[in-house]
Amino acid sequence: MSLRVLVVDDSPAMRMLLKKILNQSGLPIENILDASDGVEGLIRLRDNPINLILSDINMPNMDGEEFVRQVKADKAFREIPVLMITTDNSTARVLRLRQLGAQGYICKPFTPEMVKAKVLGLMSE
Amino acid sequence: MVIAEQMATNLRDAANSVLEMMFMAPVLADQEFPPPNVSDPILVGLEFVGQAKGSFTLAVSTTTAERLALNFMGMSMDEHLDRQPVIEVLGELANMLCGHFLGQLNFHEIFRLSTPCEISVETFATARGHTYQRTVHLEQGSLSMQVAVEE
Repeated sequence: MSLRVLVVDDSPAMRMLLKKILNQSGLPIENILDASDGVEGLIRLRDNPINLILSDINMPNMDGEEFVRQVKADKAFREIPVLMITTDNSTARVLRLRQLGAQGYICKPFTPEMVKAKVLGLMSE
Repeated sequence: MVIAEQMATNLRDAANSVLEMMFMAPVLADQEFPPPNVSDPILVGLEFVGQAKGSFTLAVSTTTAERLALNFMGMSMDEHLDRQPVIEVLGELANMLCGHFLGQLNFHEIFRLSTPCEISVETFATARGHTYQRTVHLEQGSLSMQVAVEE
């Protein structure tokens, strides 16, 4: 399966890093789009066939929690797996992400190998 | 362990973890403030709200900032980055350091972090509440962190 990825993060540096990691990962990447917040993320989803989302949590305009809530509430998008990017892997945070319907999370700091392993894990499910 | 020591330990641990894994900049040594005496500091800060409220700031020289940014972006030390992308990388560094630091405090409530931005020396110097500070020394230069927790 070719991956059409949407990276949602308000940090241009983190978007660039994640795209670079994915492009160099050896994963079957067909296309990577990005968005700077949840609002822009929803627009990208409506206009493009996406089959994997990586999203930050703390963002202006619409944060990652609200973005995932809206993705999972929409019949057209709810089957798209979502990996959240977070600096906080506390029990409270992980529980919240599961409740929202995210399939997993990547905790910052991370290595390229960690990102690849998380994506491979999702693809194999 | 008194709170100040614990906070200093947590700041050092956050720096160790984040800088080594994502900036290829292992911490060589660390010390209390004052921050390195540089004439051209870049200061980036953010605010956090949750079970506690406060701010997190980091300060580095322009040279150190650019070296760290080049490492983060996987670029060669021969290359050059403009100030804006350097600030953006430092913002991401501040976000990761603060998130890692708060995660070690075992609070039960989720913290929300504001978008990092460049701040002035005056803002840095007048942070409200109890302040905890640490300077770490890297191959790329020194980096100072300050956490201010409001009453």
